[in-house]
Amino acid sequence: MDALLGVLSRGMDHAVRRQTFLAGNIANHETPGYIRKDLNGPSFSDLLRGLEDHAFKTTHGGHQGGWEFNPEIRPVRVREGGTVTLEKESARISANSVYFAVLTRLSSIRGQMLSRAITGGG
Amino acid sequence: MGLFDSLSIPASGLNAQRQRMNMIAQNLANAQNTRTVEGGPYQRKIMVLGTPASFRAELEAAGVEVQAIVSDPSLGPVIHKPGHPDADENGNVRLPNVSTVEEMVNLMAASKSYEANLSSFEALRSMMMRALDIGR
Repeated sequence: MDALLGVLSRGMDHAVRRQTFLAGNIANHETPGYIRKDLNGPSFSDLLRGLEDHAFKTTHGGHQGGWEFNPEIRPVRVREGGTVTLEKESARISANSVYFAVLTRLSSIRGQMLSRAITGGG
Repeated sequence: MGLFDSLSIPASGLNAQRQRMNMIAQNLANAQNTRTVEGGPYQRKIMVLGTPASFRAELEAAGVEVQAIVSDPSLGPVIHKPGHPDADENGNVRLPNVSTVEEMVNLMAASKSYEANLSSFEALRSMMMRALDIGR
Protein backbone atom coordinates (compact mmCIF):
# COMPACT_ATOMS: atom_id res chain seq x y z
CA MET A 1 0.00 0.00 0.00
CA ASP A 2 1.01 3.58 -0.47
CA ALA A 3 2.99 4.55 2.62
CA LEU A 4 1.15 7.78 3.30
CA LEU A 5 -2.26 6.12 2.96
CA GLY A 6 -1.07 3.45 5.38
CA VAL A 7 -0.09 6.07 7.93
CA LEU A 8 -3.35 7.96 7.48
CA SER A 9 -5.50 4.86 7.89
CA ARG A 10 -3.64 4.00 11.10
CA GLY A 11 -4.32 7.50 12.33
CA MET A 12 -8.03 7.23 11.49
CA ASP A 13 -8.24 3.84 13.16
CA HIS A 14 -6.81 5.37 16.30
CA ALA A 15 -9.15 8.36 16.17
CA VAL A 16 -12.24 6.13 15.92
CA ARG A 17 -11.09 3.94 18.80
CA ARG A 18 -10.34 6.98 20.90
CA GLN A 19 -13.79 8.37 20.14
CA THR A 20 -15.42 5.23 21.59
CA PHE A 21 -13.40 5.67 24.79
CA LEU A 22 -14.48 9.29 25.07
CA ALA A 23 -18.11 8.29 24.45
CA GLY A 24 -17.74 5.71 27.24
CA ASN A 25 -16.47 8.43 29.58
CA ILE A 26 -19.54 10.55 28.88
CA ALA A 27 -21.88 7.58 29.30
CA ASN A 28 -20.26 6.83 32.67
CA HIS A 29 -19.82 10.35 33.99
CA GLU A 30 -22.34 9.62 36.76
CA THR A 31 -21.22 6.07 37.52
CA PRO A 32 -19.87 5.94 41.08
CA GLY A 33 -16.15 5.16 41.22
CA TYR A 34 -15.67 5.35 37.46
CA ILE A 35 -12.22 6.51 36.36
CA ARG A 36 -11.92 8.02 32.91
CA LYS A 37 -10.24 6.04 30.16
CA ASP A 38 -8.36 7.34 27.19
CA LEU A 39 -6.13 6.07 24.43
CA ASN A 40 -2.53 7.15 24.21
CA GLY A 41 -1.65 7.57 20.62
CA PRO A 42 0.63 9.10 18.09
CA SER A 43 0.21 12.77 17.37
CA PHE A 44 0.08 13.79 13.75
CA SER A 45 3.77 14.64 13.79
CA ASP A 46 4.50 11.19 15.25
CA LEU A 47 2.62 9.69 12.33
CA LEU A 48 4.71 11.63 9.84
CA ARG A 49 7.92 10.79 11.66
CA GLY A 50 6.89 7.14 11.45
CA LEU A 51 6.47 7.66 7.73
CA GLU A 52 10.00 9.04 7.40
CA ASP A 53 11.47 6.25 9.50
CA HIS A 54 9.79 3.43 7.72
CA ALA A 55 8.76 4.40 4.27
CA PHE A 56 11.96 5.07 2.40
CA LYS A 57 14.40 2.82 4.20
CA THR A 58 16.73 0.60 2.20
CA THR A 59 18.68 -1.79 4.38
CA HIS A 60 20.39 -3.69 1.58
CA GLY A 61 22.17 -2.57 -1.58
CA GLY A 62 19.79 -4.60 -3.72
CA HIS A 63 16.70 -2.94 -2.31
CA GLN A 64 14.75 -0.48 -4.31
CA GLY A 65 13.39 2.50 -2.45
CA GLY A 66 11.13 0.92 0.10
CA TRP A 67 7.42 1.52 0.08
CA GLU A 68 6.83 -1.03 2.76
CA PHE A 69 5.38 0.54 5.85
CA ASN A 70 5.70 -1.50 8.97
CA PRO A 71 3.99 0.46 11.68
CA GLU A 72 5.03 0.16 15.27
CA ILE A 73 3.07 3.20 16.30
CA ARG A 74 -0.23 1.41 16.77
CA PRO A 75 -1.77 2.91 19.89
CA VAL A 76 -3.04 0.50 22.51
CA ARG A 77 -1.95 1.85 25.86
CA VAL A 78 -4.86 3.03 27.88
CA ARG A 79 -4.22 6.01 30.03
CA GLU A 80 -6.45 6.29 33.04
CA GLY A 81 -6.85 8.82 35.75
CA GLY A 82 -9.20 11.32 37.22
CA THR A 83 -12.91 11.72 37.19
CA VAL A 84 -14.95 12.66 34.15
CA THR A 85 -15.62 16.33 33.45
CA LEU A 86 -18.33 16.73 30.83
CA GLU A 87 -16.85 19.89 29.35
CA LYS A 88 -13.37 18.42 29.02
CA GLU A 89 -14.71 15.24 27.43
CA SER A 90 -16.78 17.27 24.96
CA ALA A 91 -13.72 19.32 24.06
CA ARG A 92 -11.73 16.14 23.49
CA ILE A 93 -14.51 14.74 21.32
CA SER A 94 -14.57 17.88 19.18
CA ALA A 95 -10.80 17.92 18.81
CA ASN A 96 -10.77 14.25 17.91
CA SER A 97 -13.51 14.76 15.29
CA VAL A 98 -11.52 17.53 13.65
CA TYR A 99 -8.39 15.38 13.71
CA PHE A 100 -10.33 12.59 12.00
CA ALA A 101 -11.69 15.03 9.42
CA VAL A 102 -8.15 16.20 8.62
CA LEU A 103 -7.00 12.61 8.10
CA THR A 104 -9.93 11.73 5.83
CA ARG A 105 -9.36 14.88 3.78
CA LEU A 106 -5.66 14.04 3.42
CA SER A 107 -6.57 10.50 2.36
CA SER A 108 -8.87 11.82 -0.33
CA ILE A 109 -6.21 14.22 -1.60
CA ARG A 110 -3.61 11.48 -1.64
CA GLY A 111 -6.04 9.26 -3.56
CA GLN A 112 -6.56 12.01 -6.13
CA MET A 113 -2.80 12.48 -6.47
CA LEU A 114 -2.31 8.78 -7.10
CA SER A 115 -5.03 8.55 -9.72
CA ARG A 116 -3.64 11.62 -11.45
CA ALA A 117 -0.21 10.00 -11.51
CA ILE A 118 -1.74 6.83 -12.95
CA THR A 119 -3.66 8.58 -15.67
CA GLY A 120 -0.87 11.04 -16.40
CA GLY A 121 -2.94 13.99 -15.31
CA GLY A 122 -5.68 13.30 -17.83
CA MET B 1 -15.03 -3.20 19.09
CA GLY B 2 -15.97 -2.46 15.52
CA LEU B 3 -16.95 0.88 14.07
CA PHE B 4 -20.66 0.07 14.09
CA ASP B 5 -20.72 -1.45 17.59
CA SER B 6 -19.18 1.74 18.91
CA LEU B 7 -22.54 3.52 18.73
CA SER B 8 -23.80 1.17 21.44
CA ILE B 9 -21.75 3.12 24.01
CA PRO B 10 -23.47 6.50 23.72
CA ALA B 11 -26.73 4.56 23.18
CA SER B 12 -26.28 2.91 26.58
CA GLY B 13 -25.86 6.35 28.13
CA LEU B 14 -29.00 7.65 26.39
CA ASN B 15 -30.97 4.65 27.61
CA ALA B 16 -29.78 5.03 31.21
CA GLN B 17 -30.57 8.75 31.32
CA ARG B 18 -34.02 8.26 29.81
CA GLN B 19 -34.79 5.63 32.46
CA ARG B 20 -33.58 8.09 35.07
CA MET B 21 -35.99 10.72 33.76
CA ASN B 22 -38.85 8.19 33.91
CA MET B 23 -37.94 7.44 37.52
CA ILE B 24 -37.86 11.15 38.43
CA ALA B 25 -41.25 11.62 36.78
CA GLN B 26 -42.56 8.76 38.94
CA ASN B 27 -41.14 10.40 42.08
CA LEU B 28 -42.79 13.71 41.21
CA ALA B 29 -46.12 12.08 40.35
CA ASN B 30 -46.13 10.35 43.74
CA ALA B 31 -45.02 13.35 45.79
CA GLN B 32 -48.31 13.36 47.75
CA ASN B 33 -49.06 9.62 47.65
CA THR B 34 -49.72 8.33 51.19
CA ARG B 35 -51.10 4.92 50.20
CA THR B 36 -48.79 2.57 48.31
CA VAL B 37 -49.27 -1.12 47.53
CA GLU B 38 -46.55 -1.93 50.12
CA GLY B 39 -48.38 0.23 52.65
CA GLY B 40 -47.37 3.63 54.04
CA PRO B 41 -46.34 6.72 52.11
CA TYR B 42 -44.44 6.51 48.83
CA GLN B 43 -40.67 6.24 49.13
CA ARG B 44 -38.65 8.08 46.47
CA LYS B 45 -36.69 5.88 44.09
CA ILE B 46 -32.93 6.16 43.56
CA MET B 47 -31.06 4.83 40.53
CA VAL B 48 -27.77 2.90 40.74
CA LEU B 49 -25.65 3.24 37.58
CA GLY B 50 -22.79 0.87 36.84
CA THR B 51 -20.59 -0.57 34.11
CA PRO B 52 -22.14 -3.70 32.60
CA ALA B 53 -20.18 -6.95 32.80
CA SER B 54 -20.01 -7.17 29.00
CA PHE B 55 -17.89 -4.00 28.92
CA ARG B 56 -15.51 -4.83 31.73
CA ALA B 57 -12.48 -5.69 29.62
CA GLU B 58 -9.53 -3.56 30.64
CA LEU B 59 -8.77 -2.23 27.17
CA GLU B 60 -12.34 -1.65 26.12
CA ALA B 61 -14.36 1.50 26.20
CA ALA B 62 -17.19 1.12 28.68
CA GLY B 63 -20.90 1.74 28.35
CA VAL B 64 -23.27 2.20 31.27
CA GLU B 65 -26.38 0.44 32.53
CA VAL B 66 -29.01 0.84 35.23
CA GLN B 67 -28.06 -1.81 37.78
CA ALA B 68 -30.79 -1.20 40.32
CA ILE B 69 -33.59 1.12 41.29
CA VAL B 70 -33.91 1.22 45.08
CA SER B 71 -36.19 2.98 47.52
CA ASP B 72 -34.85 5.76 49.71
CA PRO B 73 -35.81 4.63 53.26
CA SER B 74 -35.55 8.08 54.85
CA LEU B 75 -38.73 9.45 56.44
CA GLY B 76 -40.77 12.18 54.86
CA PRO B 77 -42.24 15.24 56.60
CA VAL B 78 -45.21 14.99 58.99
CA ILE B 79 -48.16 17.34 58.67
CA HIS B 80 -50.99 17.84 61.11
CA LYS B 81 -54.27 17.02 59.33
CA PRO B 82 -56.76 15.36 61.71
CA GLY B 83 -59.46 14.76 59.06
CA HIS B 84 -57.14 12.79 56.78
CA PRO B 85 -58.00 9.04 56.49
CA ASP B 86 -54.30 8.14 56.95
CA ALA B 87 -53.81 10.32 60.03
CA ASP B 88 -52.61 8.61 63.25
CA GLU B 89 -54.37 9.05 66.63
CA ASN B 90 -52.72 12.48 67.06
CA GLY B 91 -53.99 13.65 63.67
CA ASN B 92 -50.53 13.52 62.02
CA VAL B 93 -49.98 12.32 58.46
CA ARG B 94 -46.61 11.09 57.19
CA LEU B 95 -45.96 12.35 53.64
CA PRO B 96 -43.61 10.81 51.06
CA ASN B 97 -39.90 11.75 51.27
CA VAL B 98 -40.04 13.38 47.83
CA SER B 99 -38.54 16.86 47.62
CA THR B 100 -39.86 18.56 44.50
CA VAL B 101 -36.86 20.89 44.27
CA GLU B 102 -34.39 18.02 44.53
CA GLU B 103 -36.23 16.01 41.88
CA MET B 104 -36.31 18.98 39.50
CA VAL B 105 -32.56 19.48 39.92
CA ASN B 106 -32.00 15.79 39.20
CA LEU B 107 -34.28 16.06 36.18
CA MET B 108 -32.16 18.88 34.80
CA ALA B 109 -28.98 16.89 35.39
CA ALA B 110 -30.47 13.85 33.64
CA SER B 111 -31.58 15.94 30.70
CA LYS B 112 -28.13 17.50 30.32
CA SER B 113 -26.49 14.08 30.53
CA TYR B 114 -28.85 12.87 27.84
CA GLU B 115 -27.78 15.77 25.61
CA ALA B 116 -24.10 15.06 26.25
CA ASN B 117 -24.56 11.44 25.23
CA LEU B 118 -26.52 12.55 22.18
CA SER B 119 -23.71 14.80 21.02
CA SER B 120 -21.10 12.07 21.47
CA PHE B 121 -23.41 9.79 19.45
CA GLU B 122 -23.59 12.44 16.75
CA ALA B 123 -19.79 12.86 16.75
CA LEU B 124 -19.27 9.13 16.18
CA ARG B 125 -21.94 9.02 13.50
CA SER B 126 -20.44 11.94 11.59
CA MET B 127 -17.03 10.24 11.72
CA MET B 128 -18.57 7.20 10.05
CA MET B 129 -20.20 9.33 7.37
CA ARG B 130 -16.93 11.13 6.78
CA ALA B 131 -15.14 7.81 6.37
CA LEU B 132 -17.63 6.99 3.61
CA ASP B 133 -16.54 10.12 1.76
CA ILE B 134 -12.87 9.15 1.53
CA GLY B 135 -11.82 9.27 -2.11
CA ARG B 136 -14.68 11.45 -3.26
